[in-house]
Amino acid sequence: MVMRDESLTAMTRGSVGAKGANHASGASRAGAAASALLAALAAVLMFGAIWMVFGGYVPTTKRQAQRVEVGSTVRLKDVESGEVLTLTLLPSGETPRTASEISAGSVLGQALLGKERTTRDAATDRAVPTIVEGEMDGRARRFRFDPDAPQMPYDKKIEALDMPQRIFYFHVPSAIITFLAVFLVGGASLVYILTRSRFWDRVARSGAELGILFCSIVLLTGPIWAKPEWGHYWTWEWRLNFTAILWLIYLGYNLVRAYASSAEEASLVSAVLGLLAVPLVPLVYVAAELWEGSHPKPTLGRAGAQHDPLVSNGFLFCFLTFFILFSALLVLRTRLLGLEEELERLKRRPARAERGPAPESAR
Amino acid sequence: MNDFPFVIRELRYLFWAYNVIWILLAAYLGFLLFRIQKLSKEIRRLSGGS
Repeated sequence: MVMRDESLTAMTRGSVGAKGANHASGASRAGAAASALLAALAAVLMFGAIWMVFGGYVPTTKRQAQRVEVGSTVRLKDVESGEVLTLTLLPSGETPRTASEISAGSVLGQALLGKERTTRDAATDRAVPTIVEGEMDGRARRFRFDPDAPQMPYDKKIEALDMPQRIFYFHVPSAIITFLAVFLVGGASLVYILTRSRFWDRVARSGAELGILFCSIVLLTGPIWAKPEWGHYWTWEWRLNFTAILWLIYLGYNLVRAYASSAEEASLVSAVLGLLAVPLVPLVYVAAELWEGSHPKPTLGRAGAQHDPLVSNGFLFCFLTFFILFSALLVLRTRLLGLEEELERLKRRPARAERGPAPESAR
Repeated sequence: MNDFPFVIRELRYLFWAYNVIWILLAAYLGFLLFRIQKLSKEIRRLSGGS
């Protein structure tokens, strides 16, 4: 069964100005113009995103980086007893399951929420750990933030915290785009298995190539952030492990596509791999909440989570940029695969047919 | 407030570590556009089109 949907394939089809196919040629030219426009828009947005992240639109992240929010993990030292606690702040209403979790609605949670980890000492102009008072285990206690943090000049400290935090604008959109790519590949693979449509096979293949590209960005940018924040590049926790497994499945997918002896067999095997990867997306998403680990828990859209509007706007702009870029790359790559298939067909065509009309592009 | 100069001066490696992502993606975008142009011409030639 062949899928015939001109509107869907216009931008991604591989046919070009063949004789006797004026309508197809017109649609192809319109598709080429639309995809070029999409690529130009993506390029312009990329410059906009660089300005937003590094040019001054989101300077408040300097303070945001050290402010305690829902999802933050804080290290506190009891001023009197010297006991050191590492606590993760849960949204108010959620019940802590372990001793290392605390609800934002509790007395200590309320005291921590919105606090900055360091305070400027007016006399020395140095960043000193903020003191916070709150009730814990039924008694009033005083804690000091991050007791081992280096005591450096205040502004320097804020700046030092700021830069690693900007990974948020690259890492999170890339992760969401990876998820979208996995769903797209899963859907296109399912349609291919049911219909054997070449068009959906090309969409799945393009999506998988972009999936491994954006998943690689996630796996490379995460450690860049983790080293200054955690002190090490990688931890063997489930969110990171599942992401690595997803990357390996997509590596297998792309290797099957590249090296299988039969194209038909490669399409079928990779379609099954594309479907197998889909359940990993919800697993990656909930892993940080289900199992203990260092990775920050998701806070966007969660009740009780507070975000600076400039941070939210910056993030949305970067996500939009990544989304347009992904769409442009998907359209162009699918189109290129169509052209490669058509070229292959033309090269294999018997010599006598070369003088006749060109075959219509397969969809 | 624009803190761009500080970022460039002190944390150059992180600035490039992040933006190399954009550079590579833009290069890939350009590569795809170039390949499409090249293959389109080749197909037009083989199918006898203008």
